[in-house]
Amino acid sequence: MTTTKVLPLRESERGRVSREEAAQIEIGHTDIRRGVALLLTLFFLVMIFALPAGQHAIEFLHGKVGNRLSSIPQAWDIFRVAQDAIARWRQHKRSLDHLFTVNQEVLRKIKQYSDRLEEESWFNQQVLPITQNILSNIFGVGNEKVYVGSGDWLFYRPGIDYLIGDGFLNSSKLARDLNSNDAGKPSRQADPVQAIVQFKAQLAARGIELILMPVPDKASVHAERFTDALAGDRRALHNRSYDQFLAALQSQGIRVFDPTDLLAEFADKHGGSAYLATDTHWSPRAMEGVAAALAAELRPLLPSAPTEPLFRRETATVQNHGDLAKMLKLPYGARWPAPESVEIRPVRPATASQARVIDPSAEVLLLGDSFANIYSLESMGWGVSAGLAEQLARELNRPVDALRRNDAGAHATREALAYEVARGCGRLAGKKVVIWEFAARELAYGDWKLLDLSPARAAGSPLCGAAGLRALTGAHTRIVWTRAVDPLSKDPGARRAGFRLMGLDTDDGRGVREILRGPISSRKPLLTSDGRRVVFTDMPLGRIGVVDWDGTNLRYVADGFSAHLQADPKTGRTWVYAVAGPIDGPFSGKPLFRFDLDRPEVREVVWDRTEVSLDNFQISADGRYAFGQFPWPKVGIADLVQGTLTLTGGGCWTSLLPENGNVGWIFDGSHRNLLFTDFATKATWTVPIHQAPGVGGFEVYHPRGANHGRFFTMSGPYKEGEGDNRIGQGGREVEIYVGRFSADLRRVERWAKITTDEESDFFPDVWINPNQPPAFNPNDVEAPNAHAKSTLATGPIVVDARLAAVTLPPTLQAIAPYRQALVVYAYEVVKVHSGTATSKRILVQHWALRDGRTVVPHTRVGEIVRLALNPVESHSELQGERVIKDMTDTALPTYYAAPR
Amino acid sequence: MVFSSHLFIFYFLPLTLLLYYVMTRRYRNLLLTLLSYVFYGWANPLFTLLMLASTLIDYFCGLVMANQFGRRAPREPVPRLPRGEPRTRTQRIALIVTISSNLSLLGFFKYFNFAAESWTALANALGLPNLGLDLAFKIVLPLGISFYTFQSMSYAIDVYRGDARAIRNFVDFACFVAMFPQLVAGPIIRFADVAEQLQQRSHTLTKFARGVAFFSVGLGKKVLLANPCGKVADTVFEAASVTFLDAWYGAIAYAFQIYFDFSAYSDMAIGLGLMLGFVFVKNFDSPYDAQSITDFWRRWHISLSTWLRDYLYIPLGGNRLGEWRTYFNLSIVMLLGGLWHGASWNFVIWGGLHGGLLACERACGKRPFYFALPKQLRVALTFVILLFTWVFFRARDLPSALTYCATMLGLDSPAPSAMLLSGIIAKPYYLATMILCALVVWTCPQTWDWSKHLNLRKAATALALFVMSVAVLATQAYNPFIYFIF
Repeated sequence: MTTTKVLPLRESERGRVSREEAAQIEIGHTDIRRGVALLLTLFFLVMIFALPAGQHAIEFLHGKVGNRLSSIPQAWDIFRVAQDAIARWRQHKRSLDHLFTVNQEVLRKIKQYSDRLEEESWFNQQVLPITQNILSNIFGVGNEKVYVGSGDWLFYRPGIDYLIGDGFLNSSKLARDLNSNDAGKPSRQADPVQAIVQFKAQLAARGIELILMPVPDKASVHAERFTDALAGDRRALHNRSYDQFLAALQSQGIRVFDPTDLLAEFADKHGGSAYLATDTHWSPRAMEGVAAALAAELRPLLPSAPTEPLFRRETATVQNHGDLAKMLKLPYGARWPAPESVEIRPVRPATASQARVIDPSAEVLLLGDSFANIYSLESMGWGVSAGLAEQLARELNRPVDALRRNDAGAHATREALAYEVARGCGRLAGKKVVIWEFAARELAYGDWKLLDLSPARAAGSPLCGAAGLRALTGAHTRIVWTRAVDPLSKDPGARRAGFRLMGLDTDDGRGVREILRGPISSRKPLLTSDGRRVVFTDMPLGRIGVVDWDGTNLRYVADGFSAHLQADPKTGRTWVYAVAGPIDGPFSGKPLFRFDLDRPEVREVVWDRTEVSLDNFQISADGRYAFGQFPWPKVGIADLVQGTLTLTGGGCWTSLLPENGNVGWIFDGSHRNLLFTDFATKATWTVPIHQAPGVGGFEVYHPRGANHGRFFTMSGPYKEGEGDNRIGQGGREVEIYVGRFSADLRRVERWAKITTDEESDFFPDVWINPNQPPAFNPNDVEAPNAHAKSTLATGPIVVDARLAAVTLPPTLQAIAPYRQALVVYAYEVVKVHSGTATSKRILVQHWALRDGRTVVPHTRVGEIVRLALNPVESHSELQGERVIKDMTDTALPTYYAAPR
Repeated sequence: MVFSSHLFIFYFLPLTLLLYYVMTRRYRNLLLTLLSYVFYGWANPLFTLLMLASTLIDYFCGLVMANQFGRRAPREPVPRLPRGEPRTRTQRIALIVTISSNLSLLGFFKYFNFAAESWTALANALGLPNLGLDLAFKIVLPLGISFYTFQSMSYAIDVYRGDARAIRNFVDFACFVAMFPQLVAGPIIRFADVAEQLQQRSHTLTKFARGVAFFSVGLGKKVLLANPCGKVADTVFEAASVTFLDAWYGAIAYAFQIYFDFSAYSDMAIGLGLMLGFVFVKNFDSPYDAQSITDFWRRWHISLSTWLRDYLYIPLGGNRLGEWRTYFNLSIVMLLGGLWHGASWNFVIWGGLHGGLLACERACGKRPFYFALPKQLRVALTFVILLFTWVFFRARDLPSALTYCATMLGLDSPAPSAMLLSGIIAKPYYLATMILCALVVWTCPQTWDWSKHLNLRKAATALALFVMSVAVLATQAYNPFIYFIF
């Protein structure tokens, strides 16, 4: 053990030596025993080395057992960042712009790298909940999103900040907000008055009354629960600009329904709780009180309601942790805060034949945020059918229409409405009142975009609903599909229970109806050849069900997963082609067997050479040939008699034209086009289906040919989630479409949009009465898109082009089970060296992932590169490859850039 | 990269220590330079080019001033220029080049936006909006530019004056400029202070252990004290209306935040330096124990105050040109010192206030007007004066600062929503943190003295602080040091 003696500086010495010398002398004389020094040093080193080493070991092992895509620890990704940066810099050294672009890219990646390192740290994941629990439970401290009030009440931080912060109409704050955006992001429109006045004028032009309903923050009403300093003080609190805001609206003649006083009064009368303790939102009873008062305000504006009650209330108890409790990220099973129990009162039609509670044709439209969604949206965890819209409908004794989006109440619902209006499906038709509900804090933090609410100017408005479908097919038509009970379902594969079986008949005047209310599992419903029954699969239980069109006679007839129905005209039998379990990830299995729907015991195996995918699978009229995936993504034609298989390409959602077994199509990997093949002539062509009105170039899904070759159906658009593989995300905007091909099958000449609601609708199947030949108006077609014709890629070109926009490459996990993907870049053609460029702006598909490896092109936005390109249609080998496209240009020529 | 981050503590630091101690002594400065560039480039890779350019200019100008440019590099050190002798034209030009390049860098990157905004505001105020600058871009402030330009200038001036030898080894010089422990927020190291250490420094277990103690205490100050104080200060200063008591609470919280934040960084920098064999100067000396503003500036950000004294105040004439000139010099130095902190009128006013107070005290014989009071009251009064000056340092803009000061003086009536603040800041956690801060400030020894005698108890305390800080760090969002933006 050694001790270094301390020779502190005397005061007299301090003035004579430099600070550096003084430091040297003082540091050089630390009094510490060697053992203590060793202990201190070793413990510190062990801490800082053991954690990353442990993290490396965990990630390596997870990689080995397949929990991670790679066994190379994440920390090493930094070399990839450097490697990418160097490669990109080398590619084009000369310009200063390029340097800045590369730098921005590196910065973005560095930030991602740092964030991921922290987020995925095993240590942090273990420590954070425990530490947060101590801080919140014992010391009363929340986190970046949550404040802890008194008596276990939690408060949403932006709500409090709204109340204590600057006035939202304060000119310096408006100027600050305008200038505080990150580079490259559009500025926020921070002035709510402008947007509200504009919206009021837009509605007034249609003869619709606007009622504005800012819902106060929890602390506005329950300040006493936030701080004891306000105990006993029942004044409602507002932002400094709130009175000015109300005065501004009043001067513009805008009606405001402010429920603050109502909620405060409710809190006084009902044990002091107008809001949930651990959630941002109001309590069920307080909300019902607001709905009643709102209804009283609305009645004078509406025609008299029926005297017979249309709806009834049920009672249910829900127990849940509020959204604020979840935001605290406490340990699983933490005792604090305790879950809350509330009694909700779901609103149902008084009789089964009664009108729906939420009805798109209602005279009252509620635009609402999470305050409207709570007790209505299952994923919020507080029950269903008991939200503001439902209670309002009950109070008014008339259905209401609702457009609800969690968050961003300043613009999200208006955007959704503008989108609907632009689609021309009459979302505002027949409306008398629009209620615009939003959280009051949005006044300070929302983006009050000024939006255009004019209907679509494009010629050829889309056909809508039953009448539209009738006009499209010119025949009695039925369509069936499965609808998620939770409108925000992220299960477009319908793997789980939680669905309703829906249907529409063009001729019975009932519109969209529930064939089976559910929640059930009703994957891939298929109409029998007479259109009278629906066969579907119960995925969790692996059994096949059948139900009559009117919803009666439900029975489960066999184990397995149905793939196709085929009527045998000779015997009158309806064969159900099905796959026995188990079903793997891409929904495939074997053997393929068939059974008689009416005598399920009559069954036989028809194919067991390979697995068969359940997506679309069709049998030729004579029952001999099958067109499908054997399994995904191997598309082929199987001769079921000979037992041979001829592979024709790659892709998914195949379809064979019923009248012409020589023509079939495959859904392409970008989830946007049908790739047609004439097997007799070997001709191929592409029919884009993502250009349907309202789809806006986004991904679509579940394409399926009807029992008539000119028609098909699909679901879309899939807009939720990040840039890649959005079909996995579902979303309320997913609707059912039916398209009619032109006679030469080269394009979709007319569209009908079947659903217009806030539901997630998947797996449509169309039946057109075979005894009634389609008698549609052949001249009723979509307006010709002259631009689209002129911008088809006509042949190979070599061009110098400036990169204008990119699609971010997907991760392997995001596109699984695919292992490779192309991304679409947009270029501006600068110079054509050979060939003919039909458009100045072109789209180019580049490989981003090949066999799991990243091969993304190293071009930066703004950079000019030389490209040798071929029309993508000329590369049949790309059929079925996953294509990620994060841009909505639909009428641009698309090329393929082959790897060098 | 922030010292108080997962990335730094568990990846950059262990990697640095590993490579540093594996490397032979000859290449350690090179390694340190490269790692420092990585550290610096983490914030923005392009900034490294700026630092490299600045380093190259100062390095070559140093050689020119020492008459060594173009000469063969003998082993002997470059001779120091004789003090007080006239310099050649070339030497003067070299000095001008180095100073003007550093000031240009600083001026452009730090003050361009401020100047453009001030000009536009002035043009608008004069009713000449057409003369305003409506710029579509904003200059991004490179991290730590105020620190490394001052360090570089000190080298050039010291060489010119004959206070330091020029350096031939470019790697050593680059290492001096870029050294990551103190690069971003000081202390401002003067070349003469570390010249010898760059060539020869010792690495001992004792030094390393004390470095660990410094680093751990610094981390604890930042994560456990400064950040919670920052929450309180941010809440109060961002509120539209505050009560009298909350205004004082917020001001005190900010005073503690800035002290613990900045001294934490200095402690961690000194600790990291010790782990790598360097000894850096003390940057704080219990500043809130000061009995006057003059005393405060002897204890607060010592490396900056001495830099301003040696390179600005004294060249301006210091106190040698008469009473009024001294007051003027003090004021101008503090005004510029304020502006050094940030490009905003708030900082100018903050500097001006300190300059005025220093001049007043100078007029009273370097004593405050409350000199006659007992020591504790002098300390308390000095702290109260500092609180008011910190308001200008922290407030969003000048009107906000004036309103805040009015509230502290009881001249403003708060809005009802101001009462909500207590629900955020009157939490046991924050109140306990404030009490702890006060105890540390006024009763505990500073890290420098505390770590002089390290026994087992203190070692355990340091390690406990480290572990607690790392645990709490996991719950905190990105929280950079205040001085990162200066």
